[in-house]
Amino acid sequence: MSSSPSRRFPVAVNAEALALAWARQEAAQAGSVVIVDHEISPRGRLGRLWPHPAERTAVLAAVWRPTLDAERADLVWLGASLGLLTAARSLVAAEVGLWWPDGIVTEDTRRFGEVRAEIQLGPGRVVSAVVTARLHLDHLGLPDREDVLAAMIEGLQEGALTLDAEQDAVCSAYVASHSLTGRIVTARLLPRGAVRGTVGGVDDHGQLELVSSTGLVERVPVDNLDRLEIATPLMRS
Amino acid sequence: MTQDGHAAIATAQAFVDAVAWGEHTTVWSLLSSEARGAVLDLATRRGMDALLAARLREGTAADDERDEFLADLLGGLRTELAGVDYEQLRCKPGPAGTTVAGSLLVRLLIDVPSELGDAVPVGSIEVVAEGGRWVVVRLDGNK
Repeated sequence: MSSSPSRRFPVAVNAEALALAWARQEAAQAGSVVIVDHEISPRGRLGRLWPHPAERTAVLAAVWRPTLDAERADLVWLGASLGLLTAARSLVAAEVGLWWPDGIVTEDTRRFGEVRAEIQLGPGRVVSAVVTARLHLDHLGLPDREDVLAAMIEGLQEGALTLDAEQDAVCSAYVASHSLTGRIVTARLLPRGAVRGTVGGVDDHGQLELVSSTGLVERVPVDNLDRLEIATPLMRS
Repeated sequence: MTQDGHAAIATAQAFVDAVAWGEHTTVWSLLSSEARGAVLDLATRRGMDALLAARLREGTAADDERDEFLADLLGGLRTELAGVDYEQLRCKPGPAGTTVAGSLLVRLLIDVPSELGDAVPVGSIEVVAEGGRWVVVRLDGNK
């Protein structure tokens, strides 16, 4: 396993809470990792509950301190997703991809991994981010959680390095692995409403680009998204 | 329903689909000339450059100018139908419209479980025949 500073807990509310406390109260350095063997409240984006049992889940939270302008903060989601994707690809032979902004999915779009980014902003910039990553072990076909955790740490380190060094490369790498590119989707928005179109890519702020048949590009920020659905036909008389 | 009624319904459906799917130039092409003028007049009163409005009216605006304007228009139309689930919408012919002579109202409805009663009206689209086809005069949401 890597030499990143790490803490491990057999049971906790969740890994993110402990990593956040470490980052805020003890100024945890970039790359610090919290591993929890059994999360009581495993929450993802928008507080949604991770649906898989704790004993079949590998989870960790890492402290990142990227050099990022505040308006590009959502790139943390993309960097984290790419890091987890790298880990997943090192563990399974099957094709896996991304589901914007937080999912790792199988070829048939079944979700078996997710990330969550809790981003702390300072004046005009990102101060720190706690990135939580989870993988469902059953989808990986690997019983050894330690191998999975080691791959996740390596993957997230790589994601953090890419985010620091080449932010534009994060966007292009994300689009290249995005399972929804070219598909017609409905983006359900918060607090209400929806945007529909063909998934084009992500822009340099990490927003999803939906292209209409007349060429209009509409952008969805991470914070505005409720969920993405493969689109269905509309109104009938 | 008459053939005209079918065509009017089809136009209303196409308009709602275009709003939902962000088909900005389709939305613009489905508006009547009077409706386009009203939209541009409103935009000008709200600060749009008069020369830009003239270019948009004549169809000579640059693509990015047109796209920005139509994206704003789409946002306004979606606000009118805010909270409406487009997937559940259906159209039903209504009475004659009131904005222009010869227009028809098309009711926008969402079905509810039968024990709750009839379909719920969520808005209406007024359409009129212009240049041998039906076009949209106005969209009203039930807000």
